Amino acid sequence: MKKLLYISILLLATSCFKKDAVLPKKSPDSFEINLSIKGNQASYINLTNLQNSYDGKTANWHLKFQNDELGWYIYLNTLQNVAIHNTTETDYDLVDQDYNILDLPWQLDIPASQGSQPAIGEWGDFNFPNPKSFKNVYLISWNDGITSFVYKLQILDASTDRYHLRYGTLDGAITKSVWITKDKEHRHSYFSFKSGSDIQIEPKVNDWNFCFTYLQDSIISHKNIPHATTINKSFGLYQGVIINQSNTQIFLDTSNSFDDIDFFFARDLEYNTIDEIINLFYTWNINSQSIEASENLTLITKDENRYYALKAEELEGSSIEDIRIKLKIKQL
Amino acid sequence: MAQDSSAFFTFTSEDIETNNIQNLEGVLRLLPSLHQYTIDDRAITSFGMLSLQNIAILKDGLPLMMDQNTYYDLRSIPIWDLEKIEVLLAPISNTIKNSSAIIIKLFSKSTNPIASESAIYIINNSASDLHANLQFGFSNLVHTAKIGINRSFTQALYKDVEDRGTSISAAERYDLNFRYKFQILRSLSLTISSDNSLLRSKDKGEIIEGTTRVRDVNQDFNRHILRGSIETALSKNHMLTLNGLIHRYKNGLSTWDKDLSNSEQQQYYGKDIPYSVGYDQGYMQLILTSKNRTLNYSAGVELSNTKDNQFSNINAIATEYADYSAFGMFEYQFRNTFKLQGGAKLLTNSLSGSYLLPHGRLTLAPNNELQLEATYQKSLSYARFEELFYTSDLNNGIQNNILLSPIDLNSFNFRVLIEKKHLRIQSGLLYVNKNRIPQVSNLNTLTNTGKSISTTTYASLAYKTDWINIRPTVMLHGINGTRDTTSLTFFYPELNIYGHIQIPNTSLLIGSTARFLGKNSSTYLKHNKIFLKQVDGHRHISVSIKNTFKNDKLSVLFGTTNLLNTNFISEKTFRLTNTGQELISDLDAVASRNRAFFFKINYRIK
Repeated sequence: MKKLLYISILLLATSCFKKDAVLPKKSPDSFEINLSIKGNQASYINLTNLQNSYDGKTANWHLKFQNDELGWYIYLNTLQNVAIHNTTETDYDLVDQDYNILDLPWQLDIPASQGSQPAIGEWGDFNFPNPKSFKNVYLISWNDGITSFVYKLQILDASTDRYHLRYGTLDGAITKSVWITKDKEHRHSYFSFKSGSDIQIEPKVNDWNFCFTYLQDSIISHKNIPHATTINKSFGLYQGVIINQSNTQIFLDTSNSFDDIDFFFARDLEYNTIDEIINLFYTWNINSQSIEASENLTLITKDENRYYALKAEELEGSSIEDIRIKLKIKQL
Repeated sequence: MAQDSSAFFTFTSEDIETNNIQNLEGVLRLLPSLHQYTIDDRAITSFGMLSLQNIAILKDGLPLMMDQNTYYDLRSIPIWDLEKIEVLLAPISNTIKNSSAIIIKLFSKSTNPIASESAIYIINNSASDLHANLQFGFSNLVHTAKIGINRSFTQALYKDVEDRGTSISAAERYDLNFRYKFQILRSLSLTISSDNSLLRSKDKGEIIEGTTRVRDVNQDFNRHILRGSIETALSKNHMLTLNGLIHRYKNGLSTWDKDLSNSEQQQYYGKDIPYSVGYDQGYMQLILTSKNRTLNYSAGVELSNTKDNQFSNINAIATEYADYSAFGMFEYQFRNTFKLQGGAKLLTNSLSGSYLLPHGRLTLAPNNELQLEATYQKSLSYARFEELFYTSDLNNGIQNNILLSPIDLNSFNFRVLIEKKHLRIQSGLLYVNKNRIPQVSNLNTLTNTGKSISTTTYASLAYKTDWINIRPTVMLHGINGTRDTTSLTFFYPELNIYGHIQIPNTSLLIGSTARFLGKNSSTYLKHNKIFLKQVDGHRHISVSIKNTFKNDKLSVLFGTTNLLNTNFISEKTFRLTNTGQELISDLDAVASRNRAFFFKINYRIK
């Protein structure tokens, strides 16, 4: 009886929760991005599965349309020398070959504190479920690599899931009307004047976090950094990163070493939901006249409950027009 | 008279042993008439369209889980001190809330008069669960005392062997229960009892892909109940009873992020985590009963106050309410022709007003072997605490409504009862009408617009002799969860066979439990859309063999639970559309823990 009593008292105090096994720490991955203004103009990274990242090659698109339910922005592809001018005329036929296109102030999309602002501006009243277009006729300048073109463009209307455009040459030789569908599986739809139809550029919305590409900004904002020229002399093309706002938030850290950054640090940060950053991972060394990786910068990102730290490990290129960035990526 | 004892089914302490059950959740999983499965580490229990929140559970006649309008982890309620558990369908009782259709009553083990006894038992099974228990009892006719301490550890359940994420968390519970009765005078007695349990569980998460990280939820559940009862005979026929109860519980939940590569862990305080809840309840009941040859009656008052002990105020509104009730009941029998029982309860709730709750029963030929009975009852069930008090950030985006009326429960029960010396057969139809169910509108607000109906056709048999005790039951449940919107009714059957056989001229007792449940389908309305939930049918069979030695001092029991190893089932949710149904979710649910072999050694000193 006494033995049973002792055994029972012992069992009353015994704990049986299983302890966790210690797992080996994972080493960071490496990922290489090769960008070129004439070649691979965009590189998409999928942090969840780096194998599913992909290069956009030459992006032969001219207009980019927001697919968000409440988003109605239309962006231009500066890499194809696309620029825009608002004639403020609403009669499509009145803008013809007699319209003076010399020395026009061609506009480009510009980065702003609230995100990239399209040069086309607010083309309609978006307070309606089906936005009402102001019907302004725009002049679009674009280039197919050999020849420069000037088209006229009018946004006719939009319904909750489509944009309706009319475009053509100034002499009226070409006049087309197209519907661009808001494809919910992608953040943006892309349109090419050359093919006259929408084209597939981006991976699906959940299949990418960052797009490394070239973005335009005013030259004054980046005085000491080389740039590629654009149709607008005040603007240059710089290496930039587009952030997929659907799934990715970011934090830029310059005070901790890459090795010291762990999940517990990343978990409590306040993240930003900006849409693009220019000249992120490099600085320009005036002495050696070359670009260098920013040693102290770590990009920390949050994708739902996943956290990643990214750092430029190596950076090669005599100019930004042809650049190789080797990233070190670790999931936290 | 105050309590109807004609149970539809009695779950005995032998059934508890055969199925190696350690807590109330385990009992309700196997209790005929109830349907239970576990999803996301939470047991979901129902009877037809009634959730567990609409079913009164009493221990020794007093409420066990407050007003049942909150999720209460039933693993925290031990059953080692119970003699039996009864299921009563549409019983006549003085229980005011949640009592219309079904009441579950728990009865504590009694202590033999003029004796002292001690008992120790240990249970171990092939899943590495371990339960140890010590009990001491003493009685000298004037003083009767019993105290028990218990530790119960149940291992986690995993879907796959390599999983880290638990389907049911590992849980460890410590109990300290005592009961004391003082027979002050022959006609005056005082009973005090207390139940105290601490439950710790660890709900482990899967390793986040590509990392060495996990997110776990730890639970610290504390419950403390103190009951007191004083009973005095006012005359030969009159008895006055004063019952009181203080109940406090806290379900503390904490979320932890862990890095398994260096064992570092930190608590996580984000908004997307389960939060701790807890309530205090004070309860008092005064009853006068009178027993006569033809006319019996009882009358009484009941007071209770319930208060949140985690969020005492939300948006400057106190999260508490009080109930004031009065009840009167009578029972009149005219020879052997009929027996009429009736009465009414008047409930005043401090939040929602007053309600009159009548009930009545007519029994034909009450002394015959064959009796016919028809019962009507009306009762109330409160909306869940989070629906009443908690703002949208604590309630999945749904805005609370403190003005919600209680859910209205009405039941009609028609029963045929045949009672002989060793045999008891009953069969009937129970119709339950549930109105004013809180529903979520398109604006994520709550309104009392829902209606549901369920019918249960049942039959049970209990045959008991010195050697055999067999109790089969069969039921067919019909459910219409959205009576306000559609006439869709779904049916599911259940068959239960519980039995024990004492082998003649030996000490061997063989027990078995067999339970078969059909696919359970029900509809509900949310955001003005109809959803259909389907839970797979499942089966459960357990067997045990027990032998006693040394003049019943030592007993050894071997058994197997869930012999067919029916563990994981699916819970599918569809959205019903004009043209068909669209699958919304397909989740793994747990019908029962894995098959396990167990043994129990019990040693008693008298």
